[in-house]
Amino acid sequence: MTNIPKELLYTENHEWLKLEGDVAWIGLTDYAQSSLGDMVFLDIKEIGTELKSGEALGTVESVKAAEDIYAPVSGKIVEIHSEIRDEPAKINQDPYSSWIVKLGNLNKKELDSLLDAGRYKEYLSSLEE
Amino acid sequence: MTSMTTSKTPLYKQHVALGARITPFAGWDMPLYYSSIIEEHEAVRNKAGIFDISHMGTISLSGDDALALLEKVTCNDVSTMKLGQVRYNAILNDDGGLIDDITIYRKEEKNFTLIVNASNRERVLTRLQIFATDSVKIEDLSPSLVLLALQGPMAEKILARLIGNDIREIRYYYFKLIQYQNELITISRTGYTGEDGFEIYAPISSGTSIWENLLELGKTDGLIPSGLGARDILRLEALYPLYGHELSEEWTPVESGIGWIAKEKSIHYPGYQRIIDQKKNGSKHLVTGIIMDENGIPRESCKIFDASGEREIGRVLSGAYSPTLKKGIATAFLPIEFTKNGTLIQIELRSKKFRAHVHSGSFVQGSAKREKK
Repeated sequence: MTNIPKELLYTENHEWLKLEGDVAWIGLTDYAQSSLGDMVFLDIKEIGTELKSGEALGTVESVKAAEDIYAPVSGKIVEIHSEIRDEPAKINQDPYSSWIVKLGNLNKKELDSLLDAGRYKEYLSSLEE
Repeated sequence: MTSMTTSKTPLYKQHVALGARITPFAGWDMPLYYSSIIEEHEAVRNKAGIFDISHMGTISLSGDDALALLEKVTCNDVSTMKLGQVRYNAILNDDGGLIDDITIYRKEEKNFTLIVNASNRERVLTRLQIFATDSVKIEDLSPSLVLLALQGPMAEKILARLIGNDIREIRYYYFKLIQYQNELITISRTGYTGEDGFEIYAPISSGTSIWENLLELGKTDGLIPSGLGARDILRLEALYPLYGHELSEEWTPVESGIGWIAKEKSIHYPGYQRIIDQKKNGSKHLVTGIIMDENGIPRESCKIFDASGEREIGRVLSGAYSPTLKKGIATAFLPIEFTKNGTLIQIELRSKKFRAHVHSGSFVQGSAKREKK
């Protein structure tokens, strides 16, 4: 059973978002780490980079394939999780502790377009068909 | 329309029960991994892993003309093989290109067993039939067998626990026939990973029992089931070629980097002159190893450029992340002037060029007990 914490928000590209005040913590979901497989390289854009919602903030490379990671909402990269960037395998081990970037200067209205846990779970079921 | 049906090995149910992610390979539903590709790779390099390779083909050749047939269709020496010996060889087409790379087991003077790639079984049988006389019996034994590969530094210890200490005496590239559960099984000290290990050929019932018992007995030594994902990384690290990547009908064994198996023989195999010329004078192109100098994983068919990044010189044949080197590694068919160790090149990944260099020889030296001749 794929893990989908109730308190987080989700995208159809399998990113998760946690809002802490005015800062959004961004990571990859359990479903993402499971389908990508063993992650070995993580490349992230620089601190200060302004991103529009849906724009790539970096790329993760697994044994199987490389995938872009997208900003769930518009914002600016204010912090990078360097421990995870140096050891992306931690995303496989614990996807919800392994945040990748923190975004500030958020467009909070865009949070409404994200999926809650229930709707993300339904979305995953639709992918299985 | 090609058939979309896939085959299952006799151990399919076991793989599913172990939680394997199943993937189609050469018309077979095979385990890609059970836990993770990297975990299984690590087990084989440091402890032991066991692979189901029952999808491979097993062909028996016997009779008065069996030896002559093999000498004619393959490029390595067969007549000098001792009883109980295994030899790596290749079946060639009329131009000296490679139809399949194989291992030959010499059971008796006039009795040989060939292990062939799953994808090439039919083409090998067709080729053998062209040259066969009435004094050769060719039998496809594949459907009645389970084939297993137990690989890693702990392999000998684990196998001895099941079969007995006799197996410790089997030398690298030799085999023994052993009684197990009232059936005769073949155990060879061979493998495709660069580690010490064994390949086991058994009838389905005893083969299935061996798979289950080894997993149980090997637990304490870290044995885990291992899939094709790990297998591909292991063989690439050892620079072992794979048909459809480093080997094809278009290239001779010399061009594919395994010219050492092409010998001067009194029986001239097809493409003989072309191959001997290439051995003496070098070939214009060569399959070569590559190590990435930046973080990125080369993938099959990625473009390769010279050091300036301007001139395209080839494409990636096989590419993977090497957990041992913690870098991307690859093979490519390059013009000979680019194949010297250390030559700088660039590889295009996802529309960006990454720096890499040519590496001669295997990427990883494993525990396989190669003896000096």
